[in-house]
Amino acid sequence: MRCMKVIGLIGIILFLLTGCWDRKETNDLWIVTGVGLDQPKDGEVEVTVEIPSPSGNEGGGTGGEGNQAGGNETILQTGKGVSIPKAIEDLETKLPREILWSHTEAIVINKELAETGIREELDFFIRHPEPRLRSYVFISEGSAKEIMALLPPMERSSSEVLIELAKSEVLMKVTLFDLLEMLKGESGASILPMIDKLPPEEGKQPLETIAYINRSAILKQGRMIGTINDRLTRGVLWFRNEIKESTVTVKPEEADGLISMNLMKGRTNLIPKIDGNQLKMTVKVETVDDVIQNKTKWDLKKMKKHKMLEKELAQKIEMRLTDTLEMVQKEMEVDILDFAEEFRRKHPDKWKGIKADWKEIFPTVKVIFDIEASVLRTGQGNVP
Amino acid sequence: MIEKGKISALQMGIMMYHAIIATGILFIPSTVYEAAKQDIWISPIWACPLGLLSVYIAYKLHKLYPNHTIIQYSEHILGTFLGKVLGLVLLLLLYTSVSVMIWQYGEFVVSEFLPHTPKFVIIGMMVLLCAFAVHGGLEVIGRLAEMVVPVFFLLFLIIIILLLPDIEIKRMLPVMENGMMPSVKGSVALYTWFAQFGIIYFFLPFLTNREKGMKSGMFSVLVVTLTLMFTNIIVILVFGSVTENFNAPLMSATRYISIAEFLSHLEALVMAIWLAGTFIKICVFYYAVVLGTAQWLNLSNYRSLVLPVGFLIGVFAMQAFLNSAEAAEHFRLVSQGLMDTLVYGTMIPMFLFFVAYIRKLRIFKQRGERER
Amino acid sequence: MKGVYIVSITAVVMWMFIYQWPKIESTKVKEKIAFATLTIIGWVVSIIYIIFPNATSPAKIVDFILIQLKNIILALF
Repeated sequence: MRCMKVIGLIGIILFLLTGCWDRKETNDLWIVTGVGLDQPKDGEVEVTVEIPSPSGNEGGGTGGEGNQAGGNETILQTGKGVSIPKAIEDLETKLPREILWSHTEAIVINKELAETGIREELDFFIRHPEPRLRSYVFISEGSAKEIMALLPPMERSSSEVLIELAKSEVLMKVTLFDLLEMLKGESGASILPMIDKLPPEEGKQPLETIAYINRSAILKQGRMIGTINDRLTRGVLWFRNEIKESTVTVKPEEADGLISMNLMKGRTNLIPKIDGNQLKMTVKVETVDDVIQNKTKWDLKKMKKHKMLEKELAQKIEMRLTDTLEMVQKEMEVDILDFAEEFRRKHPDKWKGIKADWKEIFPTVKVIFDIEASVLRTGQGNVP
Repeated sequence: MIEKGKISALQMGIMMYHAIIATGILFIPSTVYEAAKQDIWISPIWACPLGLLSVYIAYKLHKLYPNHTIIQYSEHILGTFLGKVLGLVLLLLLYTSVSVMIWQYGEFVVSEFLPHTPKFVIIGMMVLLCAFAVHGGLEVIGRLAEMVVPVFFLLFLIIIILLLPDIEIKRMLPVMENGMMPSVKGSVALYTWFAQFGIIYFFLPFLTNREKGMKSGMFSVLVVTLTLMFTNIIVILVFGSVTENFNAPLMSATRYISIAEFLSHLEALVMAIWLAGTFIKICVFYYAVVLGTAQWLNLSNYRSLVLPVGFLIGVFAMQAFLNSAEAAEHFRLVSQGLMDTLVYGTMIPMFLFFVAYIRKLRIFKQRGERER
Repeated sequence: MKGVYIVSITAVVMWMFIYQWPKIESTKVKEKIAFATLTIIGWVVSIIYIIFPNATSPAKIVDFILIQLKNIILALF
């Protein structure tokens, strides 16, 4: 009997020792940090993956001597196909190692592809268990492949530049999850940061530059319909209560120069109201700014001037918000300002009647501004 | 007595807690979301009474027959033949139910973690492991469950705390957008979990402190309700309307955790919780099936049945659903209220209880008439 | 491939049998019968599933019965 048991045990161990099906050794993997999606022609997708080069210290394994040949330590590979999985299959035939998607942090989508719709393409990134919901999504003006191919002077790879740019939150920052939430939202509108290639400095290689965020792309039902510039993007950020960085320069009428202020704190509250058939939205903005440059002869320590400055600031912000509204609400007629959600949350009963005609109603929503701007500090000193 | 081991009432409560919550925390949010939308956190409250009812009926029956399990007293109540038939139905339902649970376990591990590992290895390993525990008897399972609890709560707490930076209160609003009905409808899917509390009719006779059986069972129901509410709240606060796009929202939420860039990819934590819980869950039901089968066959020892029963449920689990569409069909039925757990957890005991009650009344009446 | 599965399943069942059979006290005939029956049922079911991979499962049968029951009850009222 004992013999039987031992045999049984040995059998189990032998069976188990044959290995584990899902083992993944780091040197069998290529870790993708950035993905670019292009549309070379209709009905075809081109996937570009950016992989930090694993062969950094292949030659000298003695440690300590890393490869410091500029910033270019990435490998680029592309694959084409009718769908993303097909394109990836094509890609895999060209890559000697298995692709690991779990560190993908930047997804760049080409403008043409975005114009035909991104919903279907995103499906892949959700279904696949590896890509992360926190990866940042961008829309590129030119081809995404070109963006991925850039060799930025200061960061390791192009996608890293993009990630850092998004994290700084100067303009839009949209993660895959944010995008999903926008696509699922009541309004069906979404906004994504738009990137473009910075022209390279003189004397540098044409690829030695970075991509930067300069505009925002507006999507309606997952299809890109237009762009707004950086100024209006900040306006949208104000509406969405996502503003983190903003510099406002005012030129008071009575003064003879410009005063620049930097945003310290900005908070926006959207207060929806329904008056009969008229929908009203009060945009309540509270902001605290610091003066960073004073080109006028004003003495900002004087109470009167201080008050005037605050008023100027409020006016300036209101102007920006009005311009944004003009563009988004009247011209593009897309609700990227989250008005729909606000109405649904505040007036769930009435919302049911509005919901179907929201597309027609949105441009007629009356927006009232209530801006409270205060200037907190005037800097540590001043030029006499 | 077929089982010589004894467990405390608290251990039973903890066992049941794991048996319900293990799969619950993962799959409940998206199952309920379909009907309840952002009110999913209210649904457990509506489903909770069913759990209390299941516990109550099981305890009442236990009071009538303190030393017997349901397989034995159904023969007393309905007569030998009908009792055996009912016992068989109950057992078959239990077999099915366990096989679905094991299938769920295997499917989840394969789809989320080990996509290339054959399923029979994953299922086989789990069944073998559980077979050891079940072979050890009720005491072993009870202590295992007790041991897992602190780890479970610690990891659960860690996950919730780490998710706090990502929550947004407005995702939960408006509360009760369409009145109460959505959350009530959502709670129907939860019945399948709460009805499983009925399984305590297999454990009540083996308690050291029987009078506390009901109290601890009820307590377990309440803690399950609270845990589910917490899970649902945190999931809805993190994911909002996107919740329904994930199979296992808590899992995806944990994947979503990223603190200071290095504290990320924590899904292994959820997996640890879930594996420990599922292990206890399968053990509890596996044990019930083995014990029930042995009692149905009037055996004096259940240990010899552990392996063949395990083999059988393993095979059933392998075959339970062939693809995700079939499984989705099953879970759709479940969310409509057509669930096997409700039948064996609540309806059969309730039926038995009523029959027993009526018969008892008649006996008293006859006795009364005779005395007159 | 099916042959390999059948052989390995049979090996598992045999192992179970060899492991458990001597542990059952020789006087307990009922236990032995129950054990043997269950083991054989398991073996037969697994063989059926190997030969007919699309065969139905208890889970689906229970679902089907519940639907029928629901229909009957709905028809009654």
